[in-house]
Amino acid sequence: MTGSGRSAEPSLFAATLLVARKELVTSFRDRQTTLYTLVLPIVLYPFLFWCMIQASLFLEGRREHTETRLGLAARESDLVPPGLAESLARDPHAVNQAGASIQGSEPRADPAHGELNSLSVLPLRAPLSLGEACAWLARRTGSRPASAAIEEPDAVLYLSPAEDGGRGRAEVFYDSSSTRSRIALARVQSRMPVFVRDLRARAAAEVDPNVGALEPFRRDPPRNVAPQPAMGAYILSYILPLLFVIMAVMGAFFPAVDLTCGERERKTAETTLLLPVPRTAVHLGKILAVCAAALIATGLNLSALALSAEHLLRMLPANSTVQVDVPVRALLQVAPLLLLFAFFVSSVLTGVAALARTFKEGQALLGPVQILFVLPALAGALPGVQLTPLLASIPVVNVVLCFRGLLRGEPMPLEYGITAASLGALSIAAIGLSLWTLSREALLVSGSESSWRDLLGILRSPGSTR
Amino acid sequence: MSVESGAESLAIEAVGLRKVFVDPRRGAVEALCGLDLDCRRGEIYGLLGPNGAGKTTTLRVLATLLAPTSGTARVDGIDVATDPLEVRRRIGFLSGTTGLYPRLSPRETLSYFGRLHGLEPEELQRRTEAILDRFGMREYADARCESLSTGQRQRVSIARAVLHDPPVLILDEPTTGLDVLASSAMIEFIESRRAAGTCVLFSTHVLSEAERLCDRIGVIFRGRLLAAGTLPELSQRTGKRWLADVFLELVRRGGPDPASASSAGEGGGAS
Amino acid sequence: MRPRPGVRAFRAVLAAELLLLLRDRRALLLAVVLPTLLFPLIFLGQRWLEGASRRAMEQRTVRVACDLDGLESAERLVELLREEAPIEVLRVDASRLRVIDSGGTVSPQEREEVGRLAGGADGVLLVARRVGGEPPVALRLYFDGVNDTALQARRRADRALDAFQTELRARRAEEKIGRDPARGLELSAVDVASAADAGGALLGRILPLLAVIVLLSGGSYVALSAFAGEREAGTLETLLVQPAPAAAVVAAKFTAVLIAGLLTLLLNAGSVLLCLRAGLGSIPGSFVGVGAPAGAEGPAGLAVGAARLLGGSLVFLPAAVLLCALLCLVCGRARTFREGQFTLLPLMLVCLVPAGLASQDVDLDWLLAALPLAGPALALRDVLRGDLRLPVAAWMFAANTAWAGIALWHLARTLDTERLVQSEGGEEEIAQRSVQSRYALRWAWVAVFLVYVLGGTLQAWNLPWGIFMTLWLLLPPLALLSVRGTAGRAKESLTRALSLVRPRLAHALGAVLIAPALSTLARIVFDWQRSVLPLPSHLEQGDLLEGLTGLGLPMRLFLLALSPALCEELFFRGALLSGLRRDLGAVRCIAWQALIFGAAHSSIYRFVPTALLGMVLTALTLRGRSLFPAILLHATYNGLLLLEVDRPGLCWLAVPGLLLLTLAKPASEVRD
Repeated sequence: MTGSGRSAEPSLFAATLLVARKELVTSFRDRQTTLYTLVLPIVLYPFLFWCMIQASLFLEGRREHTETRLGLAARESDLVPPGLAESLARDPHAVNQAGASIQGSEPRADPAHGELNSLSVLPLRAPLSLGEACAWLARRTGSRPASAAIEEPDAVLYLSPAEDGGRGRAEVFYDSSSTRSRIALARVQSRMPVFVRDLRARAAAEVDPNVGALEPFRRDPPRNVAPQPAMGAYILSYILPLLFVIMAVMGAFFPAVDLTCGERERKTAETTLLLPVPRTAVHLGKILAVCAAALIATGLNLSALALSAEHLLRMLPANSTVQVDVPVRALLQVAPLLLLFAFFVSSVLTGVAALARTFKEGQALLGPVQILFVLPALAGALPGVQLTPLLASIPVVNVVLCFRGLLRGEPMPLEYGITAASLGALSIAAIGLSLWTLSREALLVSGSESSWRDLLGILRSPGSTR
Repeated sequence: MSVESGAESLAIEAVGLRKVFVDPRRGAVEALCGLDLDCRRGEIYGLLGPNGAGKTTTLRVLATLLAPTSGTARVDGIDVATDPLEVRRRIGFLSGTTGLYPRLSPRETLSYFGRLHGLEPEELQRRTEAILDRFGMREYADARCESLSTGQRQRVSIARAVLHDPPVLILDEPTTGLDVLASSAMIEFIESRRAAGTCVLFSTHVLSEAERLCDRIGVIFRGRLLAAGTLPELSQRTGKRWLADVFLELVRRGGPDPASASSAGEGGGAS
Repeated sequence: MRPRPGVRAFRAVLAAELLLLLRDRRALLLAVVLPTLLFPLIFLGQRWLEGASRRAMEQRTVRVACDLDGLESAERLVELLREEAPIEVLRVDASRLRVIDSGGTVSPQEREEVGRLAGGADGVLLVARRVGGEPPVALRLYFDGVNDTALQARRRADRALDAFQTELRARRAEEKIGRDPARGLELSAVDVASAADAGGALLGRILPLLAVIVLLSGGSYVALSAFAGEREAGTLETLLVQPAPAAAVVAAKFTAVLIAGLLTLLLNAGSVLLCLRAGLGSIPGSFVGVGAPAGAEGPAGLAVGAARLLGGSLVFLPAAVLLCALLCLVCGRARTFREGQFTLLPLMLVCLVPAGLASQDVDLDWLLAALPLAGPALALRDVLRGDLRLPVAAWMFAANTAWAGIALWHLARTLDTERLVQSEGGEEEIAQRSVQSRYALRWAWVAVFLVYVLGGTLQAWNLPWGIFMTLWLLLPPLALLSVRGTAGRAKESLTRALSLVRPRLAHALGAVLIAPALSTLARIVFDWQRSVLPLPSHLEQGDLLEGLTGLGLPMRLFLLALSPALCEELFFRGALLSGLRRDLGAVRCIAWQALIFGAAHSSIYRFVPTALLGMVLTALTLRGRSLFPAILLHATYNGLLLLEVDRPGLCWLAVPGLLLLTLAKPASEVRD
């Protein structure tokens, strides 16, 4: 311990801040670091989102323009209700769209490029046994050209009789390993209820002109009484805590390795250790710098993500129903916890990284540690898990659940307190641990790379003076 | 000037070498501005100069690591720009930045680089053993390089550079960072090459080494060769007795005024 | 016979790289073995956690409050609800709520009343209301969308309601018409795919994604230490003063990366397959996609034959080569280990997008087969599900081998000693020759990004003003900022650098004359594009320019023809081309312009037409050495498209136009 007698010397706290500031300034002087922490998130997220929008548009266009064929088969031909084939071949949604676009120039679905969502129904095959119907959907044999036999269906609708002679079952045979077959199935599934409704209505109209009497009641769309902002907060409450944990851990990763093993690689470790301040201050300063860098990176990443997501929502008119506000109040409430958590993560990562000698080695060590942080966070993001006082004492899970609860506006003073206390205690323990590892003498004297055995040796070696 | 002295006796010959780097902040930086250099076979040539004078750039151009912006350089009669591969076959190059693989042992390092030089297995084996004995590396021949001391690593590096018995050795500050024992071993090694007829071109800023070893000394400053010649020639030119004073005098003359520096350089080349 | 020096060097370097890799036991353990062991853990953990979460939700007692006044057979519904245990069914009186009810939006009063009746936010409320017409009763479910318990209650109530509705309908039909005409038409989907096909199809959805992640992470360690790490340690310089051709060294290092990547992939994929086969876990339901019953998981035991796995590895090989080459390129460009590491995550994210296509319902066709990564990913899926069409597969293989070849060709030039040795000093010497084009391209990408983000936001806010501001307030300042540097370095005036010089009359006339032919060509291209790149119907309906129909024709011509012609030309053919043409030949200038002008329109549907236009405009500007013909052509072209002038006869005007353009000398030659 160096003298606290001289008044000119900075206190432990001041020295810590001094070291932290120097570490931060030097890391951000590095053009590469600046580029990757500041510029990359701003560019990467919009770019990725752009890719996703374009890909989804492309996929949607593709799916709509995929032509599919349905084979219609029955045990007896009189099992097939009249008008079934015509009804299935018609896209019930296309009617509305065409109606809407009539005042435009002309219908857009030009014959050259086929109509949208086409499901052409092949001539009925009956009588056919179940096995024959199944065999009609011949499994394509690898080299089958796309537009081979016109007779070959993508899915087969098979109607079979019940014991009393009436219609018993309607089965759609499809092939889950074929894209077109799956699309054909989806189209049949969406069109059949329309046909059934019409069929009943027609039959009822024949008996009784009072149309619709068959429906016992109408089901209104379920009514969500949650206010709009709360819906946004609910969606955020599943995403944001998880993202925060992942980004904080990733954000602390590089600074932690850089300020410990990186320094050893740059051969400035000894210079730092020779500073005339308590070594505790140096280590604490490093942890603080890592923490600050992690928070900066997390903040930037989350803001960039939020901005791009907002941009994305604006571009997609269909999604404009969900309104997501920035939950300022919840964020302010949870901020102390997040700070504590970032500090906890930084001290653990710095402590572990301090065991490694080279950047490379540090990275290899921290990879599994990262997973240890992210997995509990994933568990905490599941529905049905509630924050109990017991869970509140488990690190990572408690932060995620507490963050989630606050975003939803659930009051939880006891759990909040336990979470804070547990994080605080763990941070102190982690700092203690990393101070202990950072002060191993063996770290200074060992070679450039080490085996696991060396690593244990370092942990057993005596600590140097503070 | 070098033509009449006969191309075959010259191991290294550089005429009007220029090298321009572009720095994003400072713009174009001229590291070499028309440097002439010639070294004979069996000669030890020392390149003296302060930091940033262009010593390393010169050596890197000669070792084909950098291409000259203009001017020509021949090593063992081969142009560095037209046939760099052949040049590399004929040189041994060693600098502060030519590292060793930490996870290979000295023996493996030698066999690796020997194979890259195309030595036959038996020949490689013979040479490796000979060199291990010669540099006294037997006891740590199978330890990993990461566990060696600085002096031991330097020996491995030298062994690596001379394994294929090159006619030209280019050493960039070979004694920097070595202790007295290791650097005197280095100096002995360089001296021993003279007898073998190898041309050794090395850069240093340790003047005593240059005084002791060099047949000829070239003083390089701001990308130009200020003067070249034997130590007596240089002292005669500058009127100073000790190399340190000669060096300072040359730098003082050549320093502030580029015009006078170039004339001094040409004078040096002609002598 | 002695092998050639290149081959010899290749062998020696490859052997050394592999030896170094094997020596690094800890890295090997962490990069290869750990992930392999991790998969069983992840699978087990995911299964356990999801199960626990689902169980917790299912065991939660939910509350359903009902006021079924007026509903036929209401008791039966309550009975069905009670079957959804653990459940608490309350009978309440919701007459006040019926009065409150107010159209589309939920009022605070309504919210409060629902909360009161349902006994807090945890419960849901089921209310039958009399409505006019047929059917006379409407059932409405109120729930709190931000409450997990309420969502669970809603799910169970929906199940009970479904059963109730089906039962009642059949009964009614029988009562009213004696029989149900739709009897036996409830569909049940039967999957006829063999176990191998179904399993292969499922595996094919995740394996490409897994392959990209694993190849990049498994290869990254070797790539980083073989390029960036060696450079940092100085051994790369040692290696490069050896008489070994740099291309052979690169090839050997690349091969080592490929071997490591494939090995990791083999171990990881094997681990996943074993886990799936042993029933340790299953493919998450979200990957199953359309068609299958909701909430279905993949079958626990996957039966995929060895032949298909082998075939899959074969078709994915070009992608593996491409990925490893990209990895080496990134690491070869990096100055330090750390810098290389930084770029890996973006690389992985970008590569995951095309590989993710395999988990979507899209067929492998000629266009997709030609795309890097997307083609092999889809082909891998198709092989696994036994559905690969050989001609397309062959085309995919050829195209992707070409992509990999391009990447390798670039890679062969990365170990440029000039650049490596100057690692501290900053830019390489080559930069001196192409500083203008690099600078201009950097500004161009900034412009593309800003136009996408700022322009997109502005246009979403207000289309006409957004277009106006993007064109007039964003592009011209960017053009000036960009060209200032170019002109400064070239010691030219700004107008000269922007080619704002008086054109020859012949060129201006020629430009206008070729416009009709160009617009007709654009139509043809667009029509052709729709057959390979069909637009989704909602985009076709909601035309981009719908927001502008309210404006008069002169305004539309100003916004969509004149303004783009002036502002876009100022930036792209003015500022950008000014930088490009100083360093690059005409062909490369045109290629870059096509890419950037296409990218600036930020839509895959507009890429090809705009890229074509960009090429023509660039050629025109390079020919005439003046910006004005390009402005004229751009304005006329846009105007013709806007006015929907479609007269093939006008295309013949292109003949004299082209003649004028080829025969007349460039503007500056005239002046000189």
